[in-house]
Amino acid sequence: MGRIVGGFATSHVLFDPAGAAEQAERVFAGMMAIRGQIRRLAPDVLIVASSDHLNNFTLKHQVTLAVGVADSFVPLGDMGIPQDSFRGHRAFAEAFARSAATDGFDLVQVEEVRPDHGLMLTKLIADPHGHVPTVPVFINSAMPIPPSPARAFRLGEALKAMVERDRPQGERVVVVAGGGLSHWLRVPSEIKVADKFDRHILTELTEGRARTFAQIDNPTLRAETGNGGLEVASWLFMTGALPEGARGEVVYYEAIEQWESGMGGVAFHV
Amino acid sequence: MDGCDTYRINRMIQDLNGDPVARERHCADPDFTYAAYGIDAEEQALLADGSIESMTRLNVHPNLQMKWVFINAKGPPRAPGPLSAYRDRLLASPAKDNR
Repeated sequence: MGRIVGGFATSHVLFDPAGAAEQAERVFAGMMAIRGQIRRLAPDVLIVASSDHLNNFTLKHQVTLAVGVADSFVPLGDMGIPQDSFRGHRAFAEAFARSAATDGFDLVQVEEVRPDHGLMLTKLIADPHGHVPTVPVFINSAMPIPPSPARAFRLGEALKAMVERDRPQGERVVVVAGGGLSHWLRVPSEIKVADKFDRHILTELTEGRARTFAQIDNPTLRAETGNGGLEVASWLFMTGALPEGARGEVVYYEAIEQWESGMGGVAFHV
Repeated sequence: MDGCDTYRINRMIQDLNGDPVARERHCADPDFTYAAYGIDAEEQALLADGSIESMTRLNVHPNLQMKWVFINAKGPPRAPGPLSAYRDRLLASPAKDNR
């Protein structure tokens, strides 16, 4: 059997540090700390989960949950991210899709996708030089009817079950989620950053209560964290893949008013 | 403005986002785009305004609102962006990575 040896989550944007230089530096340092922790875990496979931002999955075909099954992927290149290809892991991705199909999830299998910053900044934080084969998992929170937090958590559980049942002995898997925390993207709002609720999320997840937190519904999560905060579903996917009640650490958190974003990162070693 | 037909405007923006040629043509001749998607004068005015309030009134998806703003800024939509301040360290060789 394989084993999930770590779970991480991080915000997946960076902006101009002007006006928030010290906070920006702490955020970046947190991202690099996550990178260091992932490297020390020496994963054989990375699972990187994030929402697409209507670059690949649009309103034309509203895909909520998908897995990239290709042998390699070329980033879209938004946000100035280099368009260097990186390795996928077809055998793992297809095994996940097959297993999930018997576990209540008909994942959309994607051969052609150009991952945008949501997935790519997360990937660059985790594995900047593409050393580790990576399976992209899309938890598309930007869809008009997004996957619920509970369903994202449950998909993480399905991933864990597959790894422990179907993957080769000794395979080390790390799950990294990108997105969040609170931000109101192009919607009328008096609030810019929900510092208090962001910290509540960080506490609930790192103190082993992710399953309970995942019972929150999307309207409530949207009201508390903005439409961008729905990306926390990817974090819940990650925690679903960890042992029950796993406890982690908050690596960084900054409420950056200039970026209109709550920026956070967590780490779990299991 | 027909509230039941807002996909038409969203479709226009997502088509432009995915097609560099159409985007270039739109920047040179927005009327061509508007005619192709049946965008009326009131909708054009709201799109030209581009504010959150105007685009929310048109029921434009928030992510597509962002793309509309970038497209009409006439800048290359995928040019080096805010990552540039961190790029060297983000892509540093392994020996320089934080351990």
